[in-house]
Amino acid sequence: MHTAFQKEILRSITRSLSRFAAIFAIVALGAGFYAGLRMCAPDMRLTLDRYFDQTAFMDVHLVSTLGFSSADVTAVRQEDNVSVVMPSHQADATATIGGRRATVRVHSLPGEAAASTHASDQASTPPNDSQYLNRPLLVAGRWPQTSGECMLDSSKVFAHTAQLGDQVALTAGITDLADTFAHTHFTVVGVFDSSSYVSFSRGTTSLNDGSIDRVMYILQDDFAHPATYTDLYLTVRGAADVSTFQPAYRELVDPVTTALEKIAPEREVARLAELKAEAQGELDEKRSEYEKTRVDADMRLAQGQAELGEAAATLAALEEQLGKAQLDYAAGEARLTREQESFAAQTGEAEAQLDAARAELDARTAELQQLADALEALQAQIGALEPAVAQLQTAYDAALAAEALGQVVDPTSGALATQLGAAQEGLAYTRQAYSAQSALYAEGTAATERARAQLEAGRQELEAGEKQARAQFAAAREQLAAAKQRIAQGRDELEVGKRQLDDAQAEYQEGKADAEAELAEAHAALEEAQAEIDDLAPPTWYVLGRDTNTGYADFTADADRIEAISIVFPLIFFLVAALVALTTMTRMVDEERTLIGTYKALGYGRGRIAAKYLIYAGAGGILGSVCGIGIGSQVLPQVIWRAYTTMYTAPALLTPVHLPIALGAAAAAVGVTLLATILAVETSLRESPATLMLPRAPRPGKRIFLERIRPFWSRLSFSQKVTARNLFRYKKRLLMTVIGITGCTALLLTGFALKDSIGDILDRQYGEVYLYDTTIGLDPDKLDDDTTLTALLNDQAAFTGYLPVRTEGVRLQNTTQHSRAIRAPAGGDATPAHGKVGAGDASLASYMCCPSDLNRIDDFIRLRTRIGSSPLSLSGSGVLLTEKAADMLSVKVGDSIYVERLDSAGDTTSDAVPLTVTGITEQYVAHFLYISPDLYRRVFDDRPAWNGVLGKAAVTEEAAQEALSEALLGEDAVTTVQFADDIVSSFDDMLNSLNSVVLVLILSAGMLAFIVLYNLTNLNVLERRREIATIKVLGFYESEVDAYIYRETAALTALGCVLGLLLGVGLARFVITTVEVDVVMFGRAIHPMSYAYSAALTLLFAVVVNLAMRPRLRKIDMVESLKSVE
Amino acid sequence: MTFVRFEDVHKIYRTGEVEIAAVDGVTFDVNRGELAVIVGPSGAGKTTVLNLLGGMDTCTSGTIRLGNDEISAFTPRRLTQYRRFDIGFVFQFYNLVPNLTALENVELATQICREPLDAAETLLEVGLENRMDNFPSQLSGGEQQRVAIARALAKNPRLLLCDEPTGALDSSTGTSILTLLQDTSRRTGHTVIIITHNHALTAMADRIIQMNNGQVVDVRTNPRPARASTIQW
Ligand SMILES: Nc1ncnc2c1ncn2[C@@H]1O[C@H](COP(=O)(O)OP(=O)(O)O)[C@@H](O)[C@H]1O
Ligand SMILES: [Mg+2]
Repeated sequence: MHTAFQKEILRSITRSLSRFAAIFAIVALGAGFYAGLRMCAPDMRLTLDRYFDQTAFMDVHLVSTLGFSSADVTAVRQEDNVSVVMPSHQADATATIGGRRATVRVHSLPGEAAASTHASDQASTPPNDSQYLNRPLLVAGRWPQTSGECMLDSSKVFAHTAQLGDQVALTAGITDLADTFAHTHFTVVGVFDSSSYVSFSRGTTSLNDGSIDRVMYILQDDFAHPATYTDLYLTVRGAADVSTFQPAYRELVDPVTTALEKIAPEREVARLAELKAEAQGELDEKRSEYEKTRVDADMRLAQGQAELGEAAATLAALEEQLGKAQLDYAAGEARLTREQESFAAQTGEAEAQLDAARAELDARTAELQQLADALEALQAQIGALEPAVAQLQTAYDAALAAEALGQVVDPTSGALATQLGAAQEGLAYTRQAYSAQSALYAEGTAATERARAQLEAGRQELEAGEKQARAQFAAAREQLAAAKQRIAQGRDELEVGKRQLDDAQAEYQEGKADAEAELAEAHAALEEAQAEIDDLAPPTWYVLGRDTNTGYADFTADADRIEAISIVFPLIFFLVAALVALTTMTRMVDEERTLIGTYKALGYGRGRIAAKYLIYAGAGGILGSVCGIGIGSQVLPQVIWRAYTTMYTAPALLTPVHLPIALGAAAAAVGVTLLATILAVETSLRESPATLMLPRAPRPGKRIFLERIRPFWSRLSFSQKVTARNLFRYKKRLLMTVIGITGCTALLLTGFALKDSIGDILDRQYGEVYLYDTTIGLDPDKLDDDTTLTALLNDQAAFTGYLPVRTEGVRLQNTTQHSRAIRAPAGGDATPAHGKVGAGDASLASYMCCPSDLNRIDDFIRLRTRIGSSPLSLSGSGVLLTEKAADMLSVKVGDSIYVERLDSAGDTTSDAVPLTVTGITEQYVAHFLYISPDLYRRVFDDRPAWNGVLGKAAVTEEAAQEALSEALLGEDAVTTVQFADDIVSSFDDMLNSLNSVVLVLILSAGMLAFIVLYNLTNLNVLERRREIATIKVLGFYESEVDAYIYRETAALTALGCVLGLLLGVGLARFVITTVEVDVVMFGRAIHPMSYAYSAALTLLFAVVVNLAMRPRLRKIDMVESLKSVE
Repeated sequence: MTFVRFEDVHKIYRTGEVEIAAVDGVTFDVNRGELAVIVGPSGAGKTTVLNLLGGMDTCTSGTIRLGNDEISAFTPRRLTQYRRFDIGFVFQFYNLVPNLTALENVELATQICREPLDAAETLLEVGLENRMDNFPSQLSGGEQQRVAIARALAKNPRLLLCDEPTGALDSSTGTSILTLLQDTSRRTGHTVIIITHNHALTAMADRIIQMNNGQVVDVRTNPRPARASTIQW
């Protein structure tokens, strides 16, 4: 500062600090705001990139549908520019963590490498093992070291933080748990953050509701197949040295990706061969095992059969024997009968003989008796004869005659001689007869005796024989009875044997059938396995970049959104800066007319003179830029980042001053100021020194159009008229003030609206749209017989109402997308995550909800339009679609949408079915398509199996809900229980962090308002000194003087306020739709109070400025001001 | 009858170390209904005297009276009311509000005082009935000064103060303005004090107060003041 000219410039700054301050401030604000906002996205990106570098985050992620072998790893490692390959394991599972159910993604932790990570400063002290990628950072506890230990992520949203010592039990996996994990029970020993999971959404899975709640690390050996890797992570040489967001990064990584994609088919085939060989080996082993089993079975069967035959033969022999025995028995019996008969006959005969003998005997006896009688008679005869004989003998020995007589007595021949002789003879005869008779008798007696003895002997013999025979017979009978019994017994035995044999036979048959079936099955299984092996398709390799990482994708999208906003927002500030500079410099030039004239007269060139003003404005601009950018670049990104911190787990934001942006902001701000200065100074410079030396004719008063409206105009007081005319006289100032205030109000409204709309997401979703507050996930297969669940749901103390629903994942396409998809079938069938439109074929992942009862759905979900709140009904003729989904698909009422159902793995299971959208319903979180059970049945040819329940819990306290949840989860059929309160409270944090953004907007708005109003008032006061002095002289009270000036400010403020509210609506909509994530619709309605707050704050700013400017008005000295024309 | 009275009035401006006695012990009287002229060279302290009298500034010492009021003892608020209700001021550079028409400029004054004259009528009296709706920029200097006088008169003030009313005008226009002032004073009986560095104006005055160096060097009355229209310079 040597020349007088330079000194003058310096003094003009120091002497008019208030004016200089206006330029400085607006430039600081504009440049600071712009730079701060613009740097936000780069700061975020830088922070993430650093985080990635520090944690050795992978560049490429390889996934194979059939896993990787060590050969694959080697092959990948050999690719050019592949720096590190870390094979790894990953699996999803349903787990219970500290009693809560969650869907977890389980990673393997390279134990030694992790343990070598310095515990106190994980980020900056890399472990010795350079092969260790995707390093989680330990934030609490310690690294898992032994089997059964795990680390859990430190989730901030939607999850209860893990406690060290919590137990984690894996309960179900995508495939058999045992196939995947060697352990299913773990103890939490550490809590980690991971660059793989920077955003609160952890990614998608085919389990449960499709989203991953928690991430955990376990040791590699706790996986069932540590040698088969599911994932390969790799880094690309040199990629860490460039920002992941720069094209250079892509240039480094893309060739590697391409190369990997190129070797993929070869590796896929190799892997297939390997797997086939392995499987074939296993199968062959199984087959030989099967063969062995079969032979064994055959042998066992044959043996069984032989045994059965033997048994049958034994039985037959037994039977034969029995038959024979029977025959024998029969024969014995017959013989016995016969014998008995013959014996009886013999006995009879013998008895008859005996009888005959007895009769003979009796006859003999009788004969003998006769004999005896005869003897007696003979005796008597003798006796008689003897006397007679004696007589006769006497007379004759008639005895001799008697003897000869015998029987014949021939009385005639015998006369007495004859009679004696006859008598003697008779006697002799008789005697003889007698003796003969006696001999005979004796003989007879003897014979009789003999006969009797004989008879007796015979009888005795008979009796003995009979007795013996009877004994024999008894013995024989006994024998026969025994034989019979034996036979019966043998029969029984035979029966049993036969039955046993039958059983055995049946058993054998059964066993045989079983064995055959089993073998057939085993065979079929083998065949199937063989077929499977034969049909085994080569695996597919997915070569994924960082952009498929959910956290990275979310983060990038958010950074991009902020960037989009950062371009639009600061426009207002630059516009206002230009106007502030223009009005200020115009005023300055006007004030210094004479001076300019003098310079000109002194011979200074136009450039020199213009330079003074350019330097003046430029100095303000540069100083303002430096200060503004310095502050803005530090404060704004931090504040905005704060709003995102609930959603991201990332290190503290890095906020370097990004030079290009800083220079751009400064250049824009200073440029705008200089341009305005040139505009301001240009006309005056063209005038001749002579005219410049003359005071400029005061600006002529002009009639304004308002005056044409007589009735209105005549009603205005003079000061109102002055105000009105002034407003239109100083158009630049009007523009500056109105735009400034408009911007201020718009910013305020945007801030409040942002809060409204984010607050509304939950307020409206859970307060107005969802009337239910509990979601219960069900397993439809286990539902049928769960009566306790029904009882629990019907319990009025637990639920005041419930509605079973069917909810499933679908993909939606509009007609255009559908026809395009048909023409060009999508290459990759990677299913889009919920709410994301898939890459190749445009489609929207959404939920389809089918309520069980159309009449009661209104009690649980308010289906209505957002605008006008007119109720929508779900009918059989079409479906209702939620608003954001309709927006994203550009579907209107009456249009068709194509619906594809998804299975649990996220693959489409049905052809796309066209359905008519009969209504678009208000919804803020997630996309839904509501369909009636009727239509569901008709369209999908399937019964909607209820897999969820919407409930209205009767309890609201957290403890009671917890208890209810526990009771529900105790049921077999219940898979998940979620209360709206949990979601709402975790969202509150996010809302609170938004306060800082709103605060920054309020501050910026306030500064904007302050600067323009200050500048306006300042210029007014400067320019209208005389006028003010005049009215002071005229006796205006202070308040009247204030009003005289401030009425103008007030009018402009009011105008700006109204315009600001209008602009704010648009700006808010822009910001809201820009920051909005795909799956959520922010509230669209700005609350009436927000308009009121914005307007009130704007007015408050105006009042504050006016109060601040008051002393300047007071200081205007009547005496000074009236002295002369300036 | 004394209406205005200055008694040993001092006004000392202090700029840094330097003290300037702009008014250095001024004493004079002006009677009611008189047209007084304060005359003196530039820097004599005339404007300062008028400012003190008009309530735009306060004196360092001494007393200033108007009628029964001691102006020098007024509070700022009271001074504002004094300006509002009692004083009519005509400035050298008219000080019309550029954004108001002639009529509105007069109304600017009439709308704030107690018993104003009709604005339009006043303008008619100063001969501007045809220019009432013109903006100052559309008026000549003389016309502007007439508007300024009308604005001062319409307040129906107790005292009309004019600081170099002809200073920015050519001679003939100045004469017509002076005539207007003199006629008004005569017709309405208003006390009028005119400041000028131009001795020619003393001819039309009832009382001439001559100042120099912040002091009154001479006060004399003019028993036969000339008609303003005859004055030439
Ligand atoms: N505000 C002020 N500050 C300092 N000095 C002043 C101020 N006003 C007037 N003066 C000084 O007081 C003296 C009288 O000024 P002024 O009353 O304007 O004279 P006149 O009107 O007679 O030309 C001058 O010397 C002037 O420099
Ligand atoms: Mg003067």
